[in-house]
Amino acid sequence: MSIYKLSFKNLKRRKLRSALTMLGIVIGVATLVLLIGAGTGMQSYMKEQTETMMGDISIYNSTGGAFMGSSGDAYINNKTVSMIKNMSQLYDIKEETQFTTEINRTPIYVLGINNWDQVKFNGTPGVVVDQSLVDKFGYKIGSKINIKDKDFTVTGITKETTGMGMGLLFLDVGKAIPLNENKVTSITASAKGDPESAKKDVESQVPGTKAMTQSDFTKQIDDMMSGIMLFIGAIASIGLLVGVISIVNIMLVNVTERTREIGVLKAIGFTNREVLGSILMEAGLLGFIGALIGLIVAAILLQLGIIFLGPLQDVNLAYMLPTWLVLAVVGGATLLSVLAGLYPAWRASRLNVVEALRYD
Amino acid sequence: MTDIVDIKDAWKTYKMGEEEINALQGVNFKVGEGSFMAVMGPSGSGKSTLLHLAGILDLPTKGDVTLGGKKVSELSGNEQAHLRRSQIGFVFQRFNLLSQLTAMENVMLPMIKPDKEKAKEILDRVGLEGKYHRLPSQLSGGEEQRVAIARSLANDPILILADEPTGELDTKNSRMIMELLTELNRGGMTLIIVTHDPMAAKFAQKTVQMQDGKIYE
Repeated sequence: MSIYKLSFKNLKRRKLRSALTMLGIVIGVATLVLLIGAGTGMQSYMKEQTETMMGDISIYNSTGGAFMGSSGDAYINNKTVSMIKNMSQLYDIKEETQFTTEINRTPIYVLGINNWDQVKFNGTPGVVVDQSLVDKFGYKIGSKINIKDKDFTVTGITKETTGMGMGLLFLDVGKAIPLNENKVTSITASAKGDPESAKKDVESQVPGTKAMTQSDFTKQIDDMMSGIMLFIGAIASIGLLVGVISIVNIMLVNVTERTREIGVLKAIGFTNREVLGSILMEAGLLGFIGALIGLIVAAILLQLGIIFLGPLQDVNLAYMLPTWLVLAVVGGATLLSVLAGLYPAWRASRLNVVEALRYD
Repeated sequence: MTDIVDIKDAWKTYKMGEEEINALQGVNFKVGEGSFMAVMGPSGSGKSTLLHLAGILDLPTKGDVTLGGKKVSELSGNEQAHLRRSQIGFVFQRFNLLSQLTAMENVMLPMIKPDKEKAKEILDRVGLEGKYHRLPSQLSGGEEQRVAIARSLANDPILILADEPTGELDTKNSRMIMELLTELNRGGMTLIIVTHDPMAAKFAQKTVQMQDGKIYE
């Protein structure tokens, strides 16, 4: 029976109090993990999409915005297209176009598709509408749809969305380019050799172009997401901090209530350091167990989110709960709780034995 | 006979606000190995303070305490704690068992080398066969004090200090506890008890009286 085992027993002895104290940590950890997990999942998803949707490099008009294929007003003219097509460093060159239009005042984002394997949908390739358009206009496979005064027949329905409240339409790139006044918004290509040097070649040899490699995109995503995650992390940490403060509070109460018991421990020969250690252990256990429960709660909520909200079909729990997050949150909550126990533990260890033994 | 406890010219002064109170006023107190000493006296006479000095729960304001040949003032806090754990057993008036631990766990708590069999043996020795796994709340006062005595024996100490060990017990249980302590003394254990109870003091080989922080033999 060691003094540290006593820490477990003490937590068990006051089950309700321990549970309520842990609840603060559980809520703090669950919120933190939920928000960061969702952010991390989003980040991984965006990166993976980038990797599957684009070739080694994407080429844009250098005056246009070039993030995730945003359309902008800048197009690549025919001369530039043919210059790029003639570059020996590139192969598998595909033109892309995208534009927005509307049907009955509902904005629709039209994306010209080269490779239908990248899109998940039911039906056949050609003209694929998203669920929001199905819900709004009652489209089915075989329905007629009019885009920029041209009639098409819906061939498939996808669960993917723009995520921005716009309708989404995937169209064969061959049909989409004429609809967009033959404007090419971007070109993707595979590179023979290093994509970085291919990027430099394109930018130096073809005037007015800007090329981005996959790693440029992922870096953009990382930069953007790390800023967002720092912000949401800071807000969610306030919850955890409140939980940790409640540990300081409850440990002070525990130590005061157990004054005589601590006196007995010291009287029967436990050193100040052992008493300090046992109180720290108790505080650390509150944090550790609370963090584990919080993590489980967050995992369940994230999984439910994936099941019920799931436009991001490729995202699974492993994306959202990377090992670093699990270790950082459990380790961080435990460490903070141990720190929260420092003052109460120090007070306990400094108790005068004789006075402590007289305490009622 | 070697002295287990040797307290020389010990003073203990407390400050109560502006006032200074001398709980001990130059006390000399020796207890030889294997003896059984009772300290009696009215409340506030300084007998508990004397016991605290003998058990290194407190240090004198002035004077020396030597325990088993070691001068307490020369030991660090950790060494004092270690000496307390390995050489001294305490029995308190209010038993002071840990309520969340069973009888056996209470006995094992101070053990330097935790040993279940030994804990059971000690509990058998104090007459608690088969009550190893009872919590203090499931034991009578007399039984609780037996567990406390068993706990004091956990590390085979050279000295047992008991502060009013019968203070919370009825006559029958008081007698049983004193018989148990006497039996330990017969086995060679050195014992010091502080008590109000003349019946309890009768079991000791020697009784000293205290009043106003001084010993009268």
